[in-house]
Amino acid sequence: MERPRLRLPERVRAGDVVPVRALLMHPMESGLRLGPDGGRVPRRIVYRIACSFEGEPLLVMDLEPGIAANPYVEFAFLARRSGTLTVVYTEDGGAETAVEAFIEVEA
Amino acid sequence: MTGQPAKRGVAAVLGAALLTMPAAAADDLRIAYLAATCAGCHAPRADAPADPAADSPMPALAGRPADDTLAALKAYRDGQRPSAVMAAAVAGLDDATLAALARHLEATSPPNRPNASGQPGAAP
Amino acid sequence: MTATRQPFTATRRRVLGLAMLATGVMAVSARGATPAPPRIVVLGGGAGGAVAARTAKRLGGEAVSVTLVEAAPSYVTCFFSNWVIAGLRAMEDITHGYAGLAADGIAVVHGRAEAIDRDARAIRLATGETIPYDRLILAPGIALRHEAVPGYSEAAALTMPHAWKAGPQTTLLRSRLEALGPTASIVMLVPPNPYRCPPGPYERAALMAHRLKATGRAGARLTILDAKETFSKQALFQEGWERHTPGMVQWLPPSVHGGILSVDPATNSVETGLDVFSGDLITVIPPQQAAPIAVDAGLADPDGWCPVVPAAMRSPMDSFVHVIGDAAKAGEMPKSAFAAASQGRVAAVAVLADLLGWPRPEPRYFNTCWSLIAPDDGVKVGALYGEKAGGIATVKGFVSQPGEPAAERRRAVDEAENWYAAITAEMFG
Repeated sequence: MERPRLRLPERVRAGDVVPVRALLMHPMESGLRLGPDGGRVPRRIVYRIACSFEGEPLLVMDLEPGIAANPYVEFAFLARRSGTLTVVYTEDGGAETAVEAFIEVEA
Repeated sequence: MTGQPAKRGVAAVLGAALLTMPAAAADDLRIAYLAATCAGCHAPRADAPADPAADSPMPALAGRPADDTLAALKAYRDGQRPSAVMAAAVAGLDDATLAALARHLEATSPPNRPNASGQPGAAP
Repeated sequence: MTATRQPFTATRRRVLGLAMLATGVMAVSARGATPAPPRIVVLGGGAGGAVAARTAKRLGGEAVSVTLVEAAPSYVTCFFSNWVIAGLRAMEDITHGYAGLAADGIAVVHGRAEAIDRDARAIRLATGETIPYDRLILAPGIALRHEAVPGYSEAAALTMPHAWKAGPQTTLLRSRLEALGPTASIVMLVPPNPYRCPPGPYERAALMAHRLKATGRAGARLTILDAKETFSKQALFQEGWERHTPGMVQWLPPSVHGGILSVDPATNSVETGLDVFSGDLITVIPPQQAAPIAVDAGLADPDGWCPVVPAAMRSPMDSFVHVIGDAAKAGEMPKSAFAAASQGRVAAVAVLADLLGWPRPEPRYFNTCWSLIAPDDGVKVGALYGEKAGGIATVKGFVSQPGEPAAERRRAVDEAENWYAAITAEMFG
């Protein structure tokens, strides 16, 4: 899988809403499409995107074959302390790729 | 159409200007213009096959019998011959216009190939 | 007719109009005497200008004099230059000379036009020479606004080619593509609307990916950073990229990449609101506007494009000037060579009608854009356009559909090749 891209502010104040944007370039092959030989192109999608903060789950998304290529996720959470945000992508077959970023929260 | 000047002026100028158009083109500027729009896709190629109906997506039209061209243009317009491009190209043109256009194209010959009267023709 | 440098007035315009009509009549009725025929000057020898000049000469004959002013001694067509980048055509195949126009009786002036003197109704060349006109058909094409992308410049284009004006840039992009390794990454920046050849960037992506795959480099990746949320023939291209070059082409709209902040030729990278995208090859298609000569002459709107009166492609700012091709704001018509040629015919017959007192035919604007998704997979979009509510709007349109049979797609490629032969024959004889 490609290297995911993750963007969040480097520094916020405690209690601020932190915007998170994450992109993975991935074909999200639905398994329904016909290839040039007339046969079905095998399904290969990212079926799970899991975000955690300092090991605690923040958000888990289960993706379906209807999701378009290059899944892009945008969400926000409330920052209370500094720490590392991690996003893990899991595709069909179990392969994983992860990206993380540190955020400093000022009191 | 706008700005019609005195009729005599039009006739004199048009008559003289037609000297530079194919002899058979008793049509007005409108038909000559419509024929020119065909040339956007239908090249008057000197190397075009002798049979204008040969398997080309855009056959040369110059010199093609007017009856054949007219029948094809009407069929495209009326949806009897399927072509989305040609249906758009002839949309809204009436029978008289299509007939005049077909005659104009017949009277035109490709460059480097003499027309019926042995004169080099103008491009459509 | 002598052009005097007096302020332009409606009265003077009317007098001159009648004088010109008289000149036209005399040119053909007073045999023996040779009063000068009215002068049509076409500025710019691309698809619009060349077709306008040849149409005017072919239909106007000796009743008019036609002059084409073009800086370049030969013309490299921007259309089909993607074929060259992908190695499907050679530069010689898309390079044409102007000898055919001269043979038609068109005076071809190879000089750089510096300015339009609208009061004197003359074009001034860089040499200082002036070329007076009774009607000007202006087909100057586009200017690339390098500075609209922070970090980009004409110098940067030598590192990050745009190849959006065919010529040395085309050759540069082709050689850079050839030099890439088997897992290279390419980043392509695509500008906001309006710009020359709306489907062009996506065809280019398809053909670059095809070339890479065909030469054992299917591990390469091309990422398009678009300034738009949607694009021309989007479903067809996205389906085609996956079918022919699976996983090789990625397209990101601004809602995902966060907007282009800057490019850096030194590090070959692009900074967006989301992240820094670096590549082994970065190609930047910058935002565009009408060429400076049209803007400097006061013929453009504040948005940088030239408005036109739909019935005749005439400038609302100057009734002696018609603007055609990419520089013009032609309503719903895209900026394509096909559209420019179509507008060139309209302007030519409108000018003839005006100068010679002929009735002016109703315009039938037409366009078709063919794009290759692969060398044997072509798609098209097009329409007949007409005058509607003061603008140029679609009358009847057509577009290829996803999932069409291979034979139909192959036929669209044949059509594109036929069209290339036809339009270059119409332009250059």
